[in-house]
Amino acid sequence: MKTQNEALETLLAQDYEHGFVTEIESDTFEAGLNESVVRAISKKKNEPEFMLAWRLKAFEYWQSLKEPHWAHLHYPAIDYQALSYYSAPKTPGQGPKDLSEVDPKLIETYNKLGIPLKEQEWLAGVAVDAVFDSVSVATTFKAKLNEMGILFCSFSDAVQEHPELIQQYLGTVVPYTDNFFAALNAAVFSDGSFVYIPPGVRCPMELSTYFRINAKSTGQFERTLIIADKDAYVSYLEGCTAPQRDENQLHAAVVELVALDRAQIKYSTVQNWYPGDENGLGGIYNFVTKRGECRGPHSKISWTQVETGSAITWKYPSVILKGDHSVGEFYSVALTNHHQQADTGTKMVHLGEYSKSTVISKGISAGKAQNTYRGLVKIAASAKGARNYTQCDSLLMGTECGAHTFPYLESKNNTARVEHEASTSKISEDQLFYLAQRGIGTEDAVSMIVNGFCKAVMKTLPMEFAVEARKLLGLSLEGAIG
Amino acid sequence: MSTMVLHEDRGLDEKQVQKAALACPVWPLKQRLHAFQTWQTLPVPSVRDEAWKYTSLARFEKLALNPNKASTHRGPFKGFPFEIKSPAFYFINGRFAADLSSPLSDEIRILSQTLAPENVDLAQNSGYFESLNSALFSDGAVLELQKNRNEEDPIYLVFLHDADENLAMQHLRHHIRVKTNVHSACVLMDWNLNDIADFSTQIIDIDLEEKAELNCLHLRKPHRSGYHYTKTSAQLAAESKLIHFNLDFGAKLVRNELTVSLLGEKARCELNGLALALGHDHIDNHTQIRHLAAETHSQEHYRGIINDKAVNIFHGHILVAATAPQSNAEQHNKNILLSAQAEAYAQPQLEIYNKEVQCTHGATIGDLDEEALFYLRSRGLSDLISRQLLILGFAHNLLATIQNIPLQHVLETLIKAELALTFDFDTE
Repeated sequence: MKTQNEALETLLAQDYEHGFVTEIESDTFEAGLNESVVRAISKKKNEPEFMLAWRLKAFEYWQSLKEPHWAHLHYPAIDYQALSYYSAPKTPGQGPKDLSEVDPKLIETYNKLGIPLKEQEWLAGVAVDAVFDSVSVATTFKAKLNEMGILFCSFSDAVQEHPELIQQYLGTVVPYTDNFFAALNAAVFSDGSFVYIPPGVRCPMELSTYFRINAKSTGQFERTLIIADKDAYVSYLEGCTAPQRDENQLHAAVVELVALDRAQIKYSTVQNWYPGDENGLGGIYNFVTKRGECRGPHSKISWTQVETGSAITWKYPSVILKGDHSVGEFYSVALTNHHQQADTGTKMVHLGEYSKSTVISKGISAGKAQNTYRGLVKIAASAKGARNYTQCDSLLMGTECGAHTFPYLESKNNTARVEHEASTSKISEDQLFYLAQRGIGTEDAVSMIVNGFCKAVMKTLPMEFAVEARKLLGLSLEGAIG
Repeated sequence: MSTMVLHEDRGLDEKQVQKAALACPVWPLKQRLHAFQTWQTLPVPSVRDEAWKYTSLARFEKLALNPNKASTHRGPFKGFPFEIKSPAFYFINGRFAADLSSPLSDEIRILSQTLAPENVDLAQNSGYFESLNSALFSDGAVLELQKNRNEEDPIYLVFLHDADENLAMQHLRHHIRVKTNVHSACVLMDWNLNDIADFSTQIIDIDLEEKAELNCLHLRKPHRSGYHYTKTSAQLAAESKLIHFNLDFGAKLVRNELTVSLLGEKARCELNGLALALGHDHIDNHTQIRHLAAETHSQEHYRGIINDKAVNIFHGHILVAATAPQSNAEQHNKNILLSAQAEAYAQPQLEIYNKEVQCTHGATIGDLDEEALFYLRSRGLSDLISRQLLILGFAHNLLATIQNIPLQHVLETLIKAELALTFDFDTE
């Protein structure tokens, strides 16, 4: 047991590898939030009138709300007036047309993170829409995707170039009235990604965005909208790392997915924002609203997430299963260490007949961390023959950590079937003994067991991402052991 | 029928509190009035409260509540199927019926005739229904169990509802203490005698001393239009064991709150529950198991059979504190929905602060298993009989844990009648 403890200590003491700050000139608003800030953001982005009107309505609504505190999270009150709501890296001229025009400092940052744009362009075949703080600085493969009619650009560009699509879909899955953080995001969101896959098109590559929070005391408010038209398919990757900070930073993103008839969207996330140091100082506050809507029959939305970062995670990627025979999936690994707190899970709302959903959640809690699964499975009276299977397992690795499960099962249709199972345990002595017997050291054994514990989720990640996800888990836990 | 009344004016006033204090002077009037004021000022729990998310009191809130009159009914009790041979103590309309009951003893006393039990803390019962009960409770049983008693020969506490007015109230509170090393058993029954809707609240405190064991079955068969609230709190000392069974026939509202605190090392509990929700029934079971000491074990099996437009709710919270290493918790909740409009809600919750534990929970909601149905059909049984067999089997799994076989049979007969499981092969 002692060796295991030592191994754990080593890993618990591990520093955050991606903690560095790139010094580049930022165009940042002064701290504070009021109507003129909302107007200024909209103006800065040269948005059409309908966007400003929408932002203002959202802001007005947000002012009427109180911050929710039902989650199993404890953090000091957030002063929304102490944050700056816009930060963009300054770029010469009208923005870069290709990589050579991108600020070399940025390229360097990405290289440190292991995302060399150029290499990825031709090696991995991944189009990267990199978001540095709040403005997209480089979009690759755009032309190639354009040929197929696929739109993959920053949200700001989409507002300029395809306002009709934005107007049609924005806020239809996550309306600004949805919750406190969604309302805030709607009012002040700076940028994000926009994807539209036309009918019958199968996107030939994984679309990917790397988020990175940089400028100090800047709230990051991303908004992503992905639309898969009839019979379309897209796989989207979202990955995040952030530099080390002492001040808590707020992140309130919104992701909306729309899958029309027989369309499929696969959305994968690796989230590794700065979790705060071993004393719980600093770290990102991550309040995210992610939701997909299976609008058409036989459509499918699949969420996969590997959550290793952030001081606070408040995130429930959900699927509204409107279409008959539609499918929703949620695969999650949430790893919390030191003083991290995660309250995460999913909502599967079954409206369509024979809709199916699968939820697999793996929580790992170490140090003094608190890890909570909170999930809702709702079967409406209309969801004849609906089917849900939920499994959530927790692994406890620290003496002072906590693992909690708060599922909600609601069924109003007797032809539907809802199943939920959960377990909580630690790495058993038997398992370690068995592996030791076969000559595997404690460190490797723990690493193997954790890998096995998460396997069901990790195998659903796209190839391009699986490597990084395993690396991140390693950074947070196994790397130090094995 | 009931009429709309204001919250302050639901036919309740301090006079009734005074009457209750006279009938059962175990608590001074001052305490009861305090509880009554608390009740009056408390907001009615709403669906916005997490604990009442699926249970609305909006209708109840507007109903006039009526005082209960003494009943002269001394049997035979209509539909009461139990032949009780062991010691039995009857309460009719909240009043102890000495003439029907076995003689009182050291082991069992009546609240209205005793001094205050120790450690009564008003603040512990400060919720909406609890404070109403504190203000108005008329009597109850005080059990100090000192002799071993097996499950076949339990102590019966029978609460008969013979209301002559709509929503005539019955408020009782009981204290059950099992002494060190004593193994005992009791059966609590709520039984409605006539066709008038009843309203009752019960607060039950259970204390198990070291190595004590208690087997407690609580059966409720209220009026379909009645409202019933029960709060049961059990404290378990080291190496003690509680086996508890909640058997609920439905009503407009049945709300059971059961909290078991495993305070001593190696304390263990087994909680079983079966809810039969038909018609417009609404059954809401909230259980909480608190593992507070090392090597504590809990097992929980709750099942719901839901038909027509009925609603069944299970909220099971398991807490394992940092002070409870080597603890085990296992929880199962299964619901079968037999009609298109039946509803089931399940919230199996685990809150764990210690890594040296093994905890699992599972919950299911659905119709009868199609493969099992097919199997029975392939053996030549009709669809109706096959379904009836599966439903009975579903209930029987839990009933089988009742070791008192004659009682188990009577309960099974009751359940068959309730669910109209006739097994009538002739009508096929």
